[in-house]
Amino acid sequence: MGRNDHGMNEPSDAMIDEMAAALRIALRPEWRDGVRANLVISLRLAGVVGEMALDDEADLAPVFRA
Amino acid sequence: MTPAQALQRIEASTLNAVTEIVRGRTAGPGPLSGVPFGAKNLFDVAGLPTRAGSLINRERAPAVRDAPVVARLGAAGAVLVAALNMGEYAYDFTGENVHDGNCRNPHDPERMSGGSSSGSGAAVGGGLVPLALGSDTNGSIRVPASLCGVFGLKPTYGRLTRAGTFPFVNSLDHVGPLARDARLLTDAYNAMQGPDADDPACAQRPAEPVTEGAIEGLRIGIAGGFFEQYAGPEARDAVAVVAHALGSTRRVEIEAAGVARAAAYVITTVEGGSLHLERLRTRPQDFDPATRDRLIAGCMVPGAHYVQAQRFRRWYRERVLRLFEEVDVILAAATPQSAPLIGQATIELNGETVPARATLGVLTQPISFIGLPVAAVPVVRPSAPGAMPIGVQVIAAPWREDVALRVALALERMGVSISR
Repeated sequence: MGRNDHGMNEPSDAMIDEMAAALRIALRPEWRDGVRANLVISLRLAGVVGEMALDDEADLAPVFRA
Repeated sequence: MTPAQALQRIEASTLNAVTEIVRGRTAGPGPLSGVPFGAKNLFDVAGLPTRAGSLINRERAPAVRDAPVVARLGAAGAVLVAALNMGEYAYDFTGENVHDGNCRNPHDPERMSGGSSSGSGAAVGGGLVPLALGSDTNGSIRVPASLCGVFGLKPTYGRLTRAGTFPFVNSLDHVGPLARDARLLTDAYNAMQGPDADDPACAQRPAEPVTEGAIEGLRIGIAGGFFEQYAGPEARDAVAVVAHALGSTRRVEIEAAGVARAAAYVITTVEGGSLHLERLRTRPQDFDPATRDRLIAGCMVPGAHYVQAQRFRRWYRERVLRLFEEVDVILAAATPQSAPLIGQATIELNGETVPARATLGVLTQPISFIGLPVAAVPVVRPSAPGAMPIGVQVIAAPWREDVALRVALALERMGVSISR
């Protein structure tokens, strides 16, 4: 496992396989690199969003109304 | 163009814009009487399975009724003649589709149409129909409108009902028209407005028909920073042409636009992955491999990241809405460049090599992320006659489609925006 520019963990083969198992997705080994490439981008961009300091009281954009 | 003429053109076309021809519909009276139109194949069309660009959905039972927006266009007299090609499950900016074949750009068949409303952009730009329906989650109306040289409208989030459409990202999905001219774009938009209890996100607002009107006095800003950084030379030129025509020199900075793009990406991949999880479990081999890998990855993104993106969305909305106290309209390029070649993996942007597929939507994502209405207008660039088309986003405050459309109508009158 390595770290990208935003300090996000880059997933190892074992981690991807375990997450796929938890999701009950039968991931073929030949799909792993494609999934990892996309996950790395998503985690990097999530890191960009995570660097925004928001108030604890900041609500989610969608607010449920009963 | 009559419906019969549209059907003839569709049959002769090699653009791969149409997946199913719809025959037997007739024109009624109304403001759109006799106007032939096509609908991206994620809209329910009575008698057809709603395939949403996929292989899997072709096994669905045929829709028993038209999606409400399709029906509303029909009630205004328009005639549905075709279901249109699209990127698989709308997760696409290119127009490439492994199941139905790549949709081709009407101005150069070797180039991308843009997506995911690829068939909508190509069918209108190629003169098969003057009007089409598309959907836009991150740019899927505005990107093909830009690359195919036509008008497109992404209304305010919640303005037009999405009932009877196959979803992608509920937080971000919009539907809207693409058209040969701004008047038809406006008339189609007017015909589709109104509340609908079948779409929980659809606002309980009455129809607010847009009419042609003056644009004098509108305060018009040009998006700087991120929006210039990701605009190549053609895109910058297109924005400059529109800004000059409107007499605008004012720069506005949309704070944290890059973060907004990142947050839209995260929300998209997580909600998209979640939507398709059961299909990923049972039929992963039936997806386009590129879509499958993106959706599986989306399922693996931790929930905390998704929640942070949704919290940021509210923060960003409040910041951007403050800008509309200073300006009525913001201009930004719709795409970083004109259409890349089909299959092209990367593009050059300001000295950097970047992935083509994701970058095509980089300028549209920060806008749809908070649901702002946008008219995408094709731009006549005097410095580049005959060049591939490129469009500009005319962005307005929430629920002010009237402002964006009046600017589009005015640009068309001035000869600055004309469909190719």
